[in-house]
Amino acid sequence: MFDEKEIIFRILKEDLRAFELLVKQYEKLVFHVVGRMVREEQDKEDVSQEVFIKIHKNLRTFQFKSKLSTWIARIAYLTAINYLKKYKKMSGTELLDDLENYHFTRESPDTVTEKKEISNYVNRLIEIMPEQYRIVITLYHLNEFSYQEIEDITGMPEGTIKSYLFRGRKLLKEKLEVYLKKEVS
Amino acid sequence: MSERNKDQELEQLLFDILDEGPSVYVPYTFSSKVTREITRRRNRVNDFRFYLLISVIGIFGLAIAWLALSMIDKNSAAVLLNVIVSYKWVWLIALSSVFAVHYIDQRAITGLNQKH
Repeated sequence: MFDEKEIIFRILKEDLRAFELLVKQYEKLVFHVVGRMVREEQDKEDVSQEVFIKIHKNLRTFQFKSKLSTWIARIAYLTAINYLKKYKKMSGTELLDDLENYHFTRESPDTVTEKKEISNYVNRLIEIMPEQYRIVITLYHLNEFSYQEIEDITGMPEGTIKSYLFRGRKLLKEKLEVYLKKEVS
Repeated sequence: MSERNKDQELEQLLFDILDEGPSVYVPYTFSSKVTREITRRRNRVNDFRFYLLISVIGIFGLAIAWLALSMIDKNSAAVLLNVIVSYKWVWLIALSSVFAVHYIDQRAITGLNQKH
């Protein structure tokens, strides 16, 4: 079993094997958060690596006031945001209009029957959403963080988080409904 | 099926997909890559400190040698000081070269690590 406190204690004693265990434990969380914000595959890995280097550097400042996963997700979120700002890859809310008109024209109705295809469709829709929506949906659904934890991670007020989540899900549901109707017809 | 049931089913499907999320590919060697990078950065800092220490020791060594010499033979001390001052650019270039070689070496290692 992964004992957070013991692992942190060992890392603070300069045990790199212990840090490798911590990386293995949280790499999926970091890749999920970074992956939702950063589009390029190679950049995803580089930013995720930077996240863990920051974690290693700042672990001494972790006070156990929140869950370690919340703290790590916050570092991942801020690092990804900084990366997007640095390379001017921030997407604004204008993408939401694109989402309204988003279609998959290349796929024939025969190929869309599987749930996997539907899942791919939804995930591709999320990819073109503005990052605030993407991150809130990812943290809430995928990583099962509470509203309070998402507030701690992103710094957004709870009301804004709920609004993004509600609007994002509503949009996805509408698009999914249209998509499934096309599939049936 | 009623509209309400359809709506609930659709919502459930969406929630299932959102909870499942996209498949994430994490390279098998990712954790060892991270620890290797941490070790490399730590070594870089240690090397830099080492070179800095060597430089400081060198400067202090020269200063002490000059002080000692000035107590024994003032003329020789003046000659030594003259040599040090005359060749100040040589010392500076030598020191800068050591740091530059170290920097280029680290950049090359970073490049190699990123390729693998």
